[in-house]
Amino acid sequence: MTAVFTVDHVSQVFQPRRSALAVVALDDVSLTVGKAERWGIVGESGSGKTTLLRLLAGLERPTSGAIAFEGAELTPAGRDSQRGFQDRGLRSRVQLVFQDPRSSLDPRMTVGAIVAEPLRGRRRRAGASSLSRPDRAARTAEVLAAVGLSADAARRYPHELSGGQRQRVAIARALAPNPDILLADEPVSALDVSVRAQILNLLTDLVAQMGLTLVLVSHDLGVVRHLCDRVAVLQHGRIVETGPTEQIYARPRQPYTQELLAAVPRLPAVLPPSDERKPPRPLQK
Amino acid sequence: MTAGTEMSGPRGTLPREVPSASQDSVPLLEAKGLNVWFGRHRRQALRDVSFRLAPGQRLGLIGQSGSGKSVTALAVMGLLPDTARTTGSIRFEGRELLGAPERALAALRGRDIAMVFQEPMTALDPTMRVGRQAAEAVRLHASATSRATRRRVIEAFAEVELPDPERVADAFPHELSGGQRQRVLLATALLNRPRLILCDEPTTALDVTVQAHVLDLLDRSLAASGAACLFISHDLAVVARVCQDIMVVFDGAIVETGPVARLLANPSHPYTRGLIAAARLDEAAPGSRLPTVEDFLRGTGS
Repeated sequence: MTAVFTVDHVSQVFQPRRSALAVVALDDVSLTVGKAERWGIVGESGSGKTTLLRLLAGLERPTSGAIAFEGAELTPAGRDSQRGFQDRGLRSRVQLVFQDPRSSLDPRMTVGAIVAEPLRGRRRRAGASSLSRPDRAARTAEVLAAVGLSADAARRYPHELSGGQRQRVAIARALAPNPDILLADEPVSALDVSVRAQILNLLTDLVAQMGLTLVLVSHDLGVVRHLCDRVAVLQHGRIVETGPTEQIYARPRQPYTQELLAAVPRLPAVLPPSDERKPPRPLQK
Repeated sequence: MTAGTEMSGPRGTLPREVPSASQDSVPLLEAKGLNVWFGRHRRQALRDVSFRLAPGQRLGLIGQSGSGKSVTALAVMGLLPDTARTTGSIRFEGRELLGAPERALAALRGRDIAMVFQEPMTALDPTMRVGRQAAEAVRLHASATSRATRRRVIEAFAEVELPDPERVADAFPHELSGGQRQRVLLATALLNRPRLILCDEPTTALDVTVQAHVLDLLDRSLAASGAACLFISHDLAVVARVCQDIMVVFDGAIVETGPVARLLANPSHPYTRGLIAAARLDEAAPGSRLPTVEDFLRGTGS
C-alpha cells in the first residue's frame, strides 16, 4: 500500500531579508502518513508544526529533502508545484481547516459562496465533472447539513455567526470537494471550551464517516489524544518522539513530551487540595 | 496648611470614604444590580449582576463568549462604549464608579485597578518600545525621573522572569514572543501595586506550555502583592488553577457562585454541569462522543 504522504529528510529554512540569521523551521524531518491514519503533530509555537502542514498542503516547498504524495514527488525541483498539484487533482483531494475562522473566511462572501467556492475550480479531479450551479447549491446544502448548520445559514455572512458556527463553515468548505485528506491547523484552539466539545464531536464523526486521512496540528495533547491515533512531537523543528497516541499519552519517553502533557490544564479530580492554594488573605464570609 | 494641601488634590478625585471600623466588612469591589444594554435595539448584555470581591480574593468569572464576561470587566474599568446604557452600582472601596467623572476613573485605572488583556499584540502599541509603554503606566500616576522609572520597569520585567529585561525593555512588541508580550503586560499591570487586577482571558492566545508558565507567574505575583483578582476565562481548568472562587455567567446573568471545590463537586446549574463535563477532555475515551453544554441545558446530560 502506498503511503499518502512520505516526508523524507525535509528541512525548511527561512532567510529573513535583512537579517543574517536564518530560521530553521524544520530540521531533517521524516514522516510517513498512511491511508486513513489520523496523525497529530504537537509542539510549542515555533516548533515547526504549521510549516510541516503547509509543506504537506503544497503551499511551500522544502529547502531540502522531498515530500511524496501517493508515491509521486510533490515538489520536483524546477517545476511549478501548483501545477503539479492540480494535475493530480490534489487541490480538491487535500483540504485545509485553519485555526481562526475569523481570518480564514472572507468577510465579504456569504457562507453559501464560501462553501461553494472550492466546487468552482476550473481543473477538477478526473472523473468529477465541473458542477452546474444547481448541483453546487445542492452540494452546499448537503455539507452545511453535515456540519450541523441550517440551510438558511448559506445566506448569512461570517460576522453574523458565532465562533463555533464559523469553524463549522470552515469545515464545510473543506469537505465540499469531497476530499480524502484533511489537514487541520489548531482547529479548536480559538474556540470556547464548551464549543470545542461540539467541534471535536463533529470532526470525530466526519473523519470516521468519510474515512478521511487526518493530519492535525495542535499544541494541546488532550485534543490530539481525542482525535488522532498517532502522534509526532516536534521540538525546534525536529521530531523528538513518534508513536501511537495512547502510548505517548500514557508513557511519554522524552522530557519535552512530558512537559507538554503536564502543561495541559486539567480540572482537579474531585476535591482539590485546598491547602495548596490558600488565599493570601482570609476570604470574606 | 497641611489640611489645605490634602483637600486640593487633582480635580475630579473621588471623595475618599472614612474606612469603617471593621475592614473586612468593606468589600474591595462590589457590584449591585448591574444592568448593561447596547445599541439602538437595547440588547441586554448584563442582567442584574451582583457580586463582592474581598481584598486579596481571587474570583473567576466563567462563561461562553458573548455571555457578558468582558462587559463586566469593562464596566468596572469604566471603558464601556458610549452606546452602552448602564444601571445599578459598582463600588470600589466603597466609592461609586458608575457615573463617576472620567478624570476620577482615569486616576484609578492603572493605579488601583489594573487590567491584563487577552491579546497582547493588540494591547501593546506596535510603534513603541515596550519599556517605554510600561513606564507610561508609572509616569501617568506619579512624578518620577525617567531614570528611576526605567529602573522600576526593569525590576518589574525581571520579576516576571523575562530573560535579559534590559534588552526586552528596548524591544518592540513584534520582536517578542507571545508569552513574553503577555509577561510585559502582566509586569506593567503590577507596576503601581494595584489592589485589583482584572484579567480578561490572559492566556487564551498562548499555547499550553507558555500558558502554564504565565499562570504560575500570575499566581505568584498575586500572592506576593496581595492584590485581588477578577479572572475572566471560558476555561474552567484555567480558572481553577488561579482562583478560589468561581462565578458562572450565562446569557448575561450570574447563575452560580461559590468556592471552586464546592462548585466542581456539586454544580447546581445545568450550564455549570455542562462546563465541567466539557473541561474534562482528558477523562473521555479517545474518539468517544464528548458531552456538550447543550446536552445539559436540554437535560439529556448525565
